[in-house]
Amino acid sequence: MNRILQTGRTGLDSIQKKMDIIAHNIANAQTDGYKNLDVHFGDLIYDRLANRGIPQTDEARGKPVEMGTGSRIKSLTHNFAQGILRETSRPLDLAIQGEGFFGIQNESGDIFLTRNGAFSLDGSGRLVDSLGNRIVMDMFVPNAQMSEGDISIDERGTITVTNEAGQSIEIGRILIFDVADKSTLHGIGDTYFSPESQDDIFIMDNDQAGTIRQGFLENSSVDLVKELTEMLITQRAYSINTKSIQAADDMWGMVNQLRR
Amino acid sequence: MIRGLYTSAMGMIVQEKKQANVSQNLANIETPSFKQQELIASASHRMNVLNRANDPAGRRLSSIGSMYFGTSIDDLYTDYEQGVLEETSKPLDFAIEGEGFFTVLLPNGSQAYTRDGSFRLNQNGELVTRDGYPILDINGQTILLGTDDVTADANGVIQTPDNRYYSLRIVSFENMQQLQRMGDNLYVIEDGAPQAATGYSIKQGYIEASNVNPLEELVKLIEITRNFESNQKAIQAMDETLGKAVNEVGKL
Repeated sequence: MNRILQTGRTGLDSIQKKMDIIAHNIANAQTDGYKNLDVHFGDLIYDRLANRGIPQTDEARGKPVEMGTGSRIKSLTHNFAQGILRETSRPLDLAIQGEGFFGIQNESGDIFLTRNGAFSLDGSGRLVDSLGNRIVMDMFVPNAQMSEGDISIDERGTITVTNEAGQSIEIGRILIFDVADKSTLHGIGDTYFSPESQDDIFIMDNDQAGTIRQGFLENSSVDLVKELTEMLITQRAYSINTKSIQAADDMWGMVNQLRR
Repeated sequence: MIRGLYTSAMGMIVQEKKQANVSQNLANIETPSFKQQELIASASHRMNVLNRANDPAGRRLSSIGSMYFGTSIDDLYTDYEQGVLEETSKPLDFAIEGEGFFTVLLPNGSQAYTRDGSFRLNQNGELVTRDGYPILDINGQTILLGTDDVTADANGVIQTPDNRYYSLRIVSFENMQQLQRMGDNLYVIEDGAPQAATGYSIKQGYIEASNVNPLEELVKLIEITRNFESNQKAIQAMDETLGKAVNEVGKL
């Protein structure tokens, strides 16, 4: 009886975690550059029915009758399907259509990846994201100052600044990064993704990288209809597992009632 | 009387195990490629009942027939019916439609089989399961993709952008009931060799859902609980009868 209760509990545990993830996805349905999390379940180890007072036929004793012990969540991965691009007309809103990520460098020099291209200029005229971290780019003009309004960024990320005299100068290029397997990226909040090791990150070739669209942002990839459907399924799966726990409890009650 | 008590107790133990199996199926209702299993019980301890009465000479006992005293676990049956394919749009998710298993290399060098095709790349760029066990190709080698930007056809041939081809090793078994489960959606086989599968098709960007049928399981759950209850009632009734025999027979 104890086994049934434990098996049911593992089911409730893992399904509850899935529900948490669905809630997290739904909460981020409006977060630009957010990539929805997918939950992956696995079954737990199996236990061979021993001869511990369990009635078995001779055939059953001859072959392994293996009873399961429940389920668990094996992994959580982000689904990097393209989100819909939304026009904002802000010159420093950038979106990637296709493969790749913007690189964001923190103060200690580590690079994080993001698809959220809501950038702005900081006090010293450098391109930063909404949290003030620098965007990794290839500067053609060292320490170039940029000012909003005169900046144009082409599909390959080349930044052209038009100065007061009407001259256009290419001052740098925004780099597009990728890792070999995106499912190894883990979200660290603020739509940043961190690779397992900094060595995994590489700069993408032009022919493979997605194109940069100026004046657009990438919507959250959360599909609300899908999440809500998943929520219904998960809710039902949860409640059916409470039934197996309830049944085990009833059965244990009957055992206790054997001798009134 | 005493035999009856044990017969009913056996029934309760078997029902409890069946219930544990239902609860295992229900706990794995969201586990990709999980195959529901059923515990099969059969009648046991068949005995011939002989008539000792009406036999003045006492030489020949006439047979009345046979009776079963109790029930036993006979088999665990896995239902390998196809699960529903769910779209994930992930390039390294593969589902098998039809019969077959992916071949996985375990750390001890032996092979395991799975239908859970949700893969990833490890540090070396090899195609591995979620738990990091390498997937084998048709030559028994690991698959060094190096990128997740791949396409796969229905036969399980994976093509990389730089035109390298890897063919997934899809196997099937003569008797799938001989497969044993080891958790994490993996199966192993002790006696019986895998053979190349035919009549399957690989779908990239899909995974196979669990084939547990909630309706069936809930009906089983009700049936088992009631069966358990009936056995409990039988034990109680026998207890009462025994009580009468012990306390009231011989009372004046």
